[in-house]
Amino acid sequence: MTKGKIDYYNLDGGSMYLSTSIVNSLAQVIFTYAYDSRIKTYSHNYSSMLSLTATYSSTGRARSLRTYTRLPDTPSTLLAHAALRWPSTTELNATSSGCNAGATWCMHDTVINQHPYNPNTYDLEADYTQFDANHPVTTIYLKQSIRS
Amino acid sequence: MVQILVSAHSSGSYVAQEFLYLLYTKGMDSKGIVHHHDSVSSLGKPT
Repeated sequence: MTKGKIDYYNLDGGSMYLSTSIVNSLAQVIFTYAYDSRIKTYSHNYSSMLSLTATYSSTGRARSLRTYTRLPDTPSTLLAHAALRWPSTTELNATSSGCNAGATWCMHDTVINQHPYNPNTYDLEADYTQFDANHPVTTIYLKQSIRS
Repeated sequence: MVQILVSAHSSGSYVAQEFLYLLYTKGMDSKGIVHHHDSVSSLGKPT
C-alpha cells in the first residue's frame, strides 16, 4: 500500500536501520544538509549526507539536498561545490543562518530553525519549539516533493 | 496518488528509519498501525 509512496527526508542525520531494501521501497530519499556561504560552514553531518547519497545512488531514488544562504556565492564556494561531483545535489535558497564560522552544530539545526538561537552550537529546546519571524521554521526542502 | 512525507532530524533519523524498516518488513495491522517490540533507538545528543 505504501510502497513507492513515501518521500523520506533525512535532515543531517545518520544511517542506522537504513538499507537498500528500504530505499527501494521509497519514492525517494533526500539526504539534506545545510551550508552558509557567509561563514563557509556546513552542517555537522553534511559529509555523511553525501556519503549516504553515494551509497544508495544505485537505487536511483537517493539524492542529496543542500539548503543555502541567499548571499552571493564566492569562487571558493563554487569550487568546493564543483569538487563534490554529486550531480544529484540540488541547491535551494534559505536565509542566512546567523551561525558563527565553524559552528557546525549550529548549522545542524538550520534544517529545523532557519536562525538557531545559539550561534555557536545547537539548542534543541529553543530551536525545536520557539519559532517566530526571526526564527522561522525551515520548510523549503519540502519543495522537493512537489510533483509537476 | 497518495503521497506521504517522512522527515526526521539528526538522531531522529534512526527512529524514522526503524519505522520505515518495520513498515516494509512487518507491514501494518488492519488499523494501519506499525508495531514494534524492541525499544526504539535511544535519543541523546544529536548525531
